Amino acid sequence: MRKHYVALLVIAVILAVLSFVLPISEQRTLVFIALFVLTLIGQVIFLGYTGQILLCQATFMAIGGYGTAIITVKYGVPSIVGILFGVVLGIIFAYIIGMIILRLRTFYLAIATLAIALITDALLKGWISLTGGYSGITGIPPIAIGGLVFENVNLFYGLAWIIAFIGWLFALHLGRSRFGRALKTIKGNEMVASSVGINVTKYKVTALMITGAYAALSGALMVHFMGLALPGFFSIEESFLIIMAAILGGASSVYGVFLAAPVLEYLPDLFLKLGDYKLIIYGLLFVLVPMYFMDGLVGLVTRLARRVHKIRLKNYPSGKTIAG
Amino acid sequence: MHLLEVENLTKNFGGVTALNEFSFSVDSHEIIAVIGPNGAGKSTLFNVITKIHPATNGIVKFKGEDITKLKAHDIAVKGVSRTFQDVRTLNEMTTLENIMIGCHRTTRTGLFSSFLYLPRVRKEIEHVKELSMKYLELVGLDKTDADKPAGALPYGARKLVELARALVSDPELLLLDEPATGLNDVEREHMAQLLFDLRKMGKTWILVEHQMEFVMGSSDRVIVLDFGNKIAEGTPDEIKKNPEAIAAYLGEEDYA
Repeated sequence: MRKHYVALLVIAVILAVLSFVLPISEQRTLVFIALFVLTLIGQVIFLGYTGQILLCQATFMAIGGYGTAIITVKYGVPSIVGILFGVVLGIIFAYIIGMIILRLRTFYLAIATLAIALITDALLKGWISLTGGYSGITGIPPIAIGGLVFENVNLFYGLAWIIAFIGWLFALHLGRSRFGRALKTIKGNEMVASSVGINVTKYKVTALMITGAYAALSGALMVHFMGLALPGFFSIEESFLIIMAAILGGASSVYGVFLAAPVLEYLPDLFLKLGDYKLIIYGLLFVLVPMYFMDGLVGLVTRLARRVHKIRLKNYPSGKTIAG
Repeated sequence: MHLLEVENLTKNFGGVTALNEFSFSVDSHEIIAVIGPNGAGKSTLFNVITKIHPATNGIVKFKGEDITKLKAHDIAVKGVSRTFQDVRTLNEMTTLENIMIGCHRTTRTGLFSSFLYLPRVRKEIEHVKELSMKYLELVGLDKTDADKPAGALPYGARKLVELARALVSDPELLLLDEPATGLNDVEREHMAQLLFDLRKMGKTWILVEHQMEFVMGSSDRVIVLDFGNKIAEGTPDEIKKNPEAIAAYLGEEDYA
C-alpha cells in the first residue's frame, strides 16, 4: 500500500510544480483532466472492478452539472449546497436505474444504458424551461468555500486535483477491501459470488451509485468552473469517449485513469481535425480497442515489461525461471 | 432437529422430472453421499438446495428454518457452502484471492470504512489473508501458488482452490459436487485423504459422486438416485448389497 501512496505523492508534487510553471491555458486543460480523472474513477469501479458496461456516464455528469446549475442560478443557493445537491441527485438516479437495468448483462446492459444516454441528450436540448435548451444555463457562480472564492484557474486547479486525488485514494482502498473483493467476484462469476454469500444485485447497484456520485461530482465541478452548462458538455459522444478512454487506460487498474484522462482531453481535438473521417476512426476504435486492448495501456505496458523480463531470463538461464 | 431437511423436493425442467418427491435429512457431523449415474439428478439436488434453480415443489429446511424461498446468497450467509462440478475458480484472480472471497460471509467491514481504509479494514484484510493462507495449505496447495493466477493452476489444483474457498467460510454444511471427477489417480488419492482429515475435524457435508468406490470408504450414509427418484438409502455396506442400487449402476455401464 505504501508504494501506491508514494506514487500518488509523486504525481501530486509534479502537478503542484506544474501549477507554478504552466501558462493559464495549459492549467485550464489540466483542470479538465482532473475532472476526467474523477469521472474515470467511476469507470474503474463499475467496469474495472465490477465488469459492467455503462454507456451513459455523461448522463450522471449532466445530472450533477445541471442539478447544481439550476438551483444555484434560479434559487441562489450557495455553490457548495448546489454541488452536494447534484451529487445526491446523481446517486438517487443511479439507484433508480440500477434497480431497473442491472438485471441485464453484457450487450443488453450496454443497449439499455445507451438508451439512457440518448434520452439525456434529447432532454437537455428539448426541455427548455428546465435546461435552457441549446443555449444552456449561464451565470453559474464560482465555487465559494467560506470567504475563499475559486474564481481564478490557478485556485480551481488545486481544488480539482485535490478532489481527484481523494477520489482516487477512495477507489484504491475500495479495491483492496471486502467490498471491492465482492465486486471483483461478481465480475469473475455471478454464480460463484452468490454461492459465497454476496448479494449480487445489491453490490452492483451500490457500485453504480458510487460511479454516479463520481460522475455527478465531476459534472458539477465542471459547470462551476466554466460558469455555464451546455448540452454539448454531456453529449452521447462524451459517454462514448469516457468508456473508450477507460478501456484504453486499463479500467482494472486505478493508475489507468492518469493515462486515460489526457486521452479523453485530447482525443476530441484530434477528431475535430479529422473532419468527416472522424466517424470512421471512431468506429475502428470501438471495434479494435475492446478486441486488443481490453486491459488497456497499463496492460500493454505490463505485457511489454513481461516480455522484456522473459528475454532477460533467456539470456541468463541461471536466473529465476517461471515454474510451469 | 436435523441440520438439513429436504421434504418431497420436486424439480421439473419442462417435461423432464429431474427430482421426484425426494426426501432426506442430514444431521450435524454426518457425511452423506448421494450417488447415481449421470443424469440421475444429483447436481440438480445441489442446485435446488442452494437456489440456483427454484424448486418446483417441496421444502428445504436448514436448522429448522424453511429456506426454500430465500435467495442464493442468503442461503450461503446462513452457512451452506458449495463447490461446483465444473470448477469455477476466478481465473484472473490469484489463488489466494480466490480463497479470500470465501470469507465474505464471516467478515463485516462496509463501504465507508473501506473508502477511508480505517485500521479495522486493514486488520480484516490481514486476517482474511492469513486465514486463506491457512486453508490454502490445509487443502494441500503449495505456498508458492498463492500469488499465481488461479487460471495457471492445473485442473486438480483448481478443485482444491474451490474446496478451500468453500471451507474458509467455516460453513455448517458443505455441498461437494463431484470432488473427484476429472482427477488423476494421485489427485484422487489426495482428495480422499483430505476428506478423511476433514471428517476428523467434525465437518458436515453432502457429497455427490458417480464413482461408487470413492464414496464407500468415506460416508456414513449413502443415498442412491436414479432418474430423480431415491431408489436406496443406507450405510455403505447395505448399499453394496442392495440389488436396486447395483442394477442402477449396471445400467450405467450398459450405456457406457
